Amino acid sequence: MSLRNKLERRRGEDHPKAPTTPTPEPASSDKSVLLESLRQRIAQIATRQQASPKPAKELFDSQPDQGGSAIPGEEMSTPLGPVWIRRLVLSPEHCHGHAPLGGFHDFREALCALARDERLEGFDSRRTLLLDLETTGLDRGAGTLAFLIGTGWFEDDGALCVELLFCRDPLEEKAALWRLSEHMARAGALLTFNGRSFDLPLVNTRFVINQMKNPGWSLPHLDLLLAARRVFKRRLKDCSLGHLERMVLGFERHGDIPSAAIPQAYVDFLRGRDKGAMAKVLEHNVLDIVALAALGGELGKLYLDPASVEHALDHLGLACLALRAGDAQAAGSHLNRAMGTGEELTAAQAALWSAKAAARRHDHEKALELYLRAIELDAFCGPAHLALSKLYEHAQKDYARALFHAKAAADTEGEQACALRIGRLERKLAKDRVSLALCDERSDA
Amino acid sequence: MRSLSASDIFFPLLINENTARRPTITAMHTVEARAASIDPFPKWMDAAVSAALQARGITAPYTHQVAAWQALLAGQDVLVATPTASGKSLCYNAPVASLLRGDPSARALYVFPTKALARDQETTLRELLVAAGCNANVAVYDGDTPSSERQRIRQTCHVILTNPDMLHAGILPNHPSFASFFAGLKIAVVDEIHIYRGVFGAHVANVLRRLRRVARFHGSHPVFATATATIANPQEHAQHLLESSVTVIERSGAPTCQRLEVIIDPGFSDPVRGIRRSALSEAARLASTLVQAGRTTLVFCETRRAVEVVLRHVRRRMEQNGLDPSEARGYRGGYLPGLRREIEAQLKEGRLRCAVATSALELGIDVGQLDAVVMAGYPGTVASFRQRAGRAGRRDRPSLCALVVGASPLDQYLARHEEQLFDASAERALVRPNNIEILLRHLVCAAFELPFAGGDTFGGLTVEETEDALSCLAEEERLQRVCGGYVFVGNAAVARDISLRGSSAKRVVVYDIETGEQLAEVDEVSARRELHPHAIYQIEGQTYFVETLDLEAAVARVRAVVPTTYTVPLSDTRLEVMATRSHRGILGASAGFGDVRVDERVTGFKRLRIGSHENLGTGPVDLPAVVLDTEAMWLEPSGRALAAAGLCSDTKLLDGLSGLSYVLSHIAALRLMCDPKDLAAHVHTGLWPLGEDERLPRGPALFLYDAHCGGVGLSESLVEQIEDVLFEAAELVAGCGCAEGCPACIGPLSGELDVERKASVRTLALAMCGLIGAEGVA
Repeated sequence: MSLRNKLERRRGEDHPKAPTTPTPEPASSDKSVLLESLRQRIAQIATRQQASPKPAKELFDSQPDQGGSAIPGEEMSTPLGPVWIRRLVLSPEHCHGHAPLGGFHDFREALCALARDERLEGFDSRRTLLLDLETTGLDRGAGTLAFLIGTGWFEDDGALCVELLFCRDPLEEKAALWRLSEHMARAGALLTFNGRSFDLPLVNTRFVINQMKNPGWSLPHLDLLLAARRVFKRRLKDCSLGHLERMVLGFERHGDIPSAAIPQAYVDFLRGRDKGAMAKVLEHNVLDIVALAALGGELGKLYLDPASVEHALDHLGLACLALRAGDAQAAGSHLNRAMGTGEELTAAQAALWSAKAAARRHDHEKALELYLRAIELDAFCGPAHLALSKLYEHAQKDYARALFHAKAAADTEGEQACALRIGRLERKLAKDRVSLALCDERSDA
Repeated sequence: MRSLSASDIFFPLLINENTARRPTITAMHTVEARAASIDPFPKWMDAAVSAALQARGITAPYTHQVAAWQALLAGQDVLVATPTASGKSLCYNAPVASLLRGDPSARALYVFPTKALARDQETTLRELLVAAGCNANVAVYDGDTPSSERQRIRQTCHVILTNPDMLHAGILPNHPSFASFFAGLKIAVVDEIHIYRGVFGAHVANVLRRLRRVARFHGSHPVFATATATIANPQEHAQHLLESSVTVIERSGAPTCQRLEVIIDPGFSDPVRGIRRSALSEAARLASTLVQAGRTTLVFCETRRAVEVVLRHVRRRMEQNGLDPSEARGYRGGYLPGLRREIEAQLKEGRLRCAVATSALELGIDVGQLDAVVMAGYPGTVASFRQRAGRAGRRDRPSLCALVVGASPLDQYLARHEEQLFDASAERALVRPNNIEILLRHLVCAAFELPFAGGDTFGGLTVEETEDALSCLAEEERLQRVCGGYVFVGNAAVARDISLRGSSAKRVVVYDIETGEQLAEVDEVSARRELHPHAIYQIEGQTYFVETLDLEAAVARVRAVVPTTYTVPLSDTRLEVMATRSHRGILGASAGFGDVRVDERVTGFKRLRIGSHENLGTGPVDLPAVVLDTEAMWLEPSGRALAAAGLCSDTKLLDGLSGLSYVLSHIAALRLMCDPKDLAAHVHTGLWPLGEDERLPRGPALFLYDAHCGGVGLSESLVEQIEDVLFEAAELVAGCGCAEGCPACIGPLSGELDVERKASVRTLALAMCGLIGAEGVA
């Protein structure tokens, strides 16, 4: 039995038919119908937009147009075929929540510390390419398509330009990647949210599959997820973009399509079923890019301007970032502010870190003072007790105090090591007492 | 004085058993020693590689090794089909080492059926590369590879060793991250290809199609170096699997030592009731005797539990005889990898007296030199038997291989027909890459890896066949049709959901309700028959009562009971012949082959007393039906054949045909290198619906169908050799020592006691293949 007969059986036909010529491809006609309907809708939108140009601000404050089941944008032709493009320009004053988009440019000096990449020192923020993909799945394998590539950059006047590259069918991916590589070639850095483990490897896979060069591979990259997690993890359990948007930027999305529904929305779009959902996906992607810009600016602001930080715990996160970037000054100012807050445990932690930094500078006096401060704020601060025990033993030779702190650090140090330390200190102390006694005897004599 | 021969050494140990219940040695056979045949190192081989080999004692390679090297150099796909321990891995390791020294951009992929084999070969290959002064990176990439190391391996390794499952679900779907590896891929090594048969083989053949497709995308065309244990059809099998013309190298140049091969039947403990002695305890006793005589022994068991039973027995005997029981160890799946490596090393260094293992130790792991191999039960195939036998006697001294047969029809048949084991060529390995269900699933995986453009082909399919299959997938919305091509669009890691080991059916896990221990895994279809609620389930000589069967969760819970009764499922099976593909008359029957739809529903069960087979009543079972579209062969006995066998009443007809189909499926398993459960039987005695095709069966008929969706080629191959199979079935029935049929011949009795049943099954088989006329014995 031939493969074809078996396939027909599988389709539920009991009696195999004689082989027929393959049915003509309905795909091409499907596609032309699709294109035609798209064109009509574009025309409608074009006239609507001409009639009442919407200010960009309103676009993001209102829900997506209820009647607008069409995909906004226009076709762009590239040497590798057409791709659907949607462009938006947002002024630097546009606020996402309470964060103005211009903030990204104003606080660009923080980029280098946020990304922990020295290549970003003195970098022109206008050459940063913002990137966010919408894909057919979360698997990073060869078959996950990036059907919507959201890009963004800042114009000379500080306005944010958002450009979405949408593949109306998977074959348009080549053209979308071509356009993306144009942007990448101009860019000096990439800004993503979770790009390190998702967007960038996936983009690379797409370039490989389409046998194209990936110009973004060697660009310095700032993954805001990593930076944001470092800053906010003490305060926020969930560091997803949506949650940060709500908690840090104060922006609430309304009528947004949930991320989990996006892959199915594209499948439905390709099968000509539901175009409205796809319009929402584009809206979602625009918001992601805008949120990316706003969050970058907000993080920069918090980093460079400690006075603007509301939550003491965030100071710790920012100081941690600064310490890792080797920016002692920024770390110092965040830690000082944290020590000054009323939250004693946070302040104790800040004192501990400051002390450690001082110890690294061999400023033992300062370190001693700060460790004592930490214990003052939190009597059970084990690491501070341990550090003090060492300082008193080796730098001050004050074994009695060292012994006191060693005993308090038992939980931090572990029983065995602690017992050794205590034993050693007791021996030293005993020896000291003997020699003291001898001294006394001598002086008596 | 001439040196002692194998039988001089081992025969006294076999018969000197101080026991009243002496087992029967049913067959004995000596494999003579053979001298090595060698060739010089070829000139093109990298001097450092040949020097490294010479330094390790290989002064001149065997002829088959040189032949393999030459063929690979010429760019031909190669299959090495020489016996165990003939230095097969050097056939590919030496050219890979030579290649890597000459070309730093070259890459090699090694595929082994198990993780353990990959780890073993990793060590061997790395040692050779180091000795040859080649600083290539070698790594195993499988499910146990830590994710922190994976990126490094993907980007920097010259040789990646893996298994088909990882290639399928981990490597191919992520091929862009292996871009440089695939771009440089020059050699793909696929070892132990006899394992890749049946359903697993069909999957692997499709994985290899995908491998070639991905390699081609990255611009490489690797040559395939493959190896197999002894099978009857190496050329055909390799061609089906690789879909290229393959140079087969069968003549081994490696020396062998003298080996005594014996078959031992533990015999009946109760011949009237048809109850046999356990092969396990017999094997354990023999192993203990051998160990006592200072012979290092490897015992193979069929199951993990059997390993523990035998091991306990051997250790107790060693203790009684003043030996250190820790010098006997078990080796099976479920042991942690570290422990396995430790036992392998102990074996290799000769620090163990006895090892008890499952098939986990059967494949090419180098375990060094052993004096004796004891198999507790027939391993299922001749190929596997030879593979295990080859584990004995690597040194220049005689060795023993003993097969202790169990109670299955196959075991009992071999005990009486040793020529099937010693002389006959091994079984044919069957693989059908175009099994429709399997093919379609891999096409989806392939589309995930790279979209299909119009006019693309997949493996050996034509453009039209590929297009047909893809458009079928598009209709089912598993692929998206785009401008004449096909793309996978969806949120799923498709490959991860497809298991290569076993067909679509879920595996039902059997748990002991009291101990929580996992006893077995049974496929969903068999589970309905064997594990329905209130069934008596037997495994490894233990009897259990089934408390619950949850098909949704794929779990059955059983409780150990004292064996007094057994159950027989009552099922309502409907079989419909969808299309006849071939049809021919043999002397006493007509034999057909075609596509069938089987609809089986287990409706109840019958409870019978063990021994007397007294019917104790029936009970209902409520389980959903299974529909299986597959291939079947059928036999429709002629009126004369039925008359000769005396099958005149409906009951007798049903009993006779059922008995024959039971024997046939076991003989078929022997010939087709499959498990008896891979071929299911069905008997039809009622009326047939009227059909136009005159080749459809009209009267009573017995069917044997592939128990896997779409068929894997078993029934098709069986119908070609049906006369021989019928004759062997008659022989098996005649040779069985039981009185009125037992599980070792025509199966347990299902109806009333019938003393003529056994004879009539034999007569029917002979009449169908034409050896008996209507009047009686010819």
